[in-house]
Amino acid sequence: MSAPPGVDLKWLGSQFPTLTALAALGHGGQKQVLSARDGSRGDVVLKIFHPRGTLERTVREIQAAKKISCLQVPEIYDFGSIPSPTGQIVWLLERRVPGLMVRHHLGSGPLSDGAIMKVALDVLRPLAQAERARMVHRDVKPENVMYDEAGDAAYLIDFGLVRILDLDSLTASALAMGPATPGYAALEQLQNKKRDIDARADLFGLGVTLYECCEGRNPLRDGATDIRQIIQRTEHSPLPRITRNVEPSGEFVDLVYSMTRPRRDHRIATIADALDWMEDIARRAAAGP
Amino acid sequence: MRVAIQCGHGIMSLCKSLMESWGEGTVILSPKNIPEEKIINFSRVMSGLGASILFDPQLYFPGYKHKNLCQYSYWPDVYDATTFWTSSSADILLGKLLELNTRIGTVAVILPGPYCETVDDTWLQAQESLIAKMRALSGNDRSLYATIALSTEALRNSSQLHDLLDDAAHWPVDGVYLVLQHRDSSYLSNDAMWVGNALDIAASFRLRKRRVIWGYCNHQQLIAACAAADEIGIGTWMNGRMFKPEVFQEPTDREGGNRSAWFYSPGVLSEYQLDRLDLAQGLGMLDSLRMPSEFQSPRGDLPFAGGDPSNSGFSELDGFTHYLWCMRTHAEQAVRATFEETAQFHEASLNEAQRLLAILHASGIRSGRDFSNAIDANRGALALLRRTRGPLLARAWPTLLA
Repeated sequence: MSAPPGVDLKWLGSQFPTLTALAALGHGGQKQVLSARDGSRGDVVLKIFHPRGTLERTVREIQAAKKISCLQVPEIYDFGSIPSPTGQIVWLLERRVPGLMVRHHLGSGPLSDGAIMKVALDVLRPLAQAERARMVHRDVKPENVMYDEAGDAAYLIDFGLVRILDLDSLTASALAMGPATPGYAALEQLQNKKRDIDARADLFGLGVTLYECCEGRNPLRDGATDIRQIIQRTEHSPLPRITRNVEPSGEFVDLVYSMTRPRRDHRIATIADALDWMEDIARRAAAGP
Repeated sequence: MRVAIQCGHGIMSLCKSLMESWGEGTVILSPKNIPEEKIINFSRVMSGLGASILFDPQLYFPGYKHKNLCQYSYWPDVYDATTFWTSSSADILLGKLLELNTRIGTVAVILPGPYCETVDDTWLQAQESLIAKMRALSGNDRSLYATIALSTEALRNSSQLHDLLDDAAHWPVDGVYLVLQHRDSSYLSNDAMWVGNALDIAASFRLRKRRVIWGYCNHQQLIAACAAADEIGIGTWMNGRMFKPEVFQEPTDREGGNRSAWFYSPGVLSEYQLDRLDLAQGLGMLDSLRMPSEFQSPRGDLPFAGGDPSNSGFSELDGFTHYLWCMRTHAEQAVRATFEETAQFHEASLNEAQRLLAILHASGIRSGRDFSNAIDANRGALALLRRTRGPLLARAWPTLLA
């Protein structure tokens, strides 16, 4: 594996002597993500936040993940800051959750009924905790949801865009679009209406993800030529109802439909309500006909 | 859903007789039609008969000097829409209004609701300010209803509507009193978006566990049952069955409206003057307009006693009484065990009315208050409601009825 751009792997290895098998998992604008083995903890993820990144945003990601004590979110083992050849860097060591990104699973087509139900339940749980802590993940999408087929469990990862509602926003209000992934972000995020962003934005992102898990496609993104077109679709072409029943009652279709309405007032009012609904659906499905 | 009597011109004795028969129900008092010195006594009489009393302060246009409204002690001498509700004058007004509500013995306080031409920051801030002030004055034990008085334009503008709903989600009130201007002053609306957006507002508040009373309604608003509205306020004259802003600005020459008897036929959701019933009688079709027995309106069978309906003695007052009895039964029937059953019941009523009206029309039996044009508006509105909030209403329905 070649070293990702940014901090050199060999140098990193020297800074974290307990870690072995360091390998790149990915990188974004402000951070590198690496997998590694830790002698006592097993598989871990090491995140390196670039010196040019916003320290404040990094701190918030750490704060957010620490506030959610839930098996469906990777546990943070340690974090700190060290001088590097390119300047001071912040690092974060967390548990590596098993499984693959839902995006990876989607490469083989729609997910199985059971996997979809599990993704819904397991991602709603940490989101409900985030809602109670007045936090919005703001980037729920197939790349940020892991599904472990063997353990039948799903995980929500990457709180890098988290918004803590009681703290000042880190995004300039004047920006036309807030931090978001078009095609999964709610309209109020895309329009950077910061006052309007609450947990219902995460319901939208998860709803689109679940839609894609069921249908194998995302109509908000498919064939779009640019971001403007995706935004227009998000506002004016709401996702249709899912055409597949993943459980006997058919209510899962209603749930996802009610998560993905363009106007937030038309969505389920809270994540707690959505979780409650999903648990009812799962209970009835488990009980059988 | 229940029907509240929307008081208006000359309704006091009718109210009394209805409450004597019903033994319960809500009465919404109208300061435009009852002087302050009489309202306390009237409310006492009504309460004694089992009525729950609400007082609509009718502060839709506080800057106007409507000759009846401005006699009320709470009416402001000076009013500036941009500053009034954040000023100390608002505290004085709200204090007097709260005191009047206490003297009347209202079950909840309907707050002032300045008429909203456009949902903008000025109007939203005024609402927030007056609600916060009244909450501070009344404490948390008093039930407060915010008044939302919207122009047709504001109601039809989905962007404004959602600004309103987003803002109102945080209002510290127990319910809302909706007052919605009818489009083009039409008694019955043929505008599905108007009806649909009204349902959207009602459903939004109900799903947030707030009570909803929709004021100044007629039978077209029975569809509010599909949005789980708690009550619709229905009056006798047109001014009590549709919100016309101008009647709260200046007294009209004939507050009572045009005087003639109208007979409401529940099966066709339409009203007929008696000469039309005569024609139906002559054509042997009068029975299709007869009230089904479960409606129990004591004067409802009078035009069907034999002979020409116009000579039956069915009076204008009988028309009002019969209409309100029918609305009460309609409203009770309108809510079903599930959202889908409720919506289907409403659709079935529309289908049956359409079928019967087609037969009547083929024989030239039409009316100025014919429901034909409203049928598609209600169908369209229901389709919108199903699309936007159907699954949420279906899920919440048992708790909404509790």
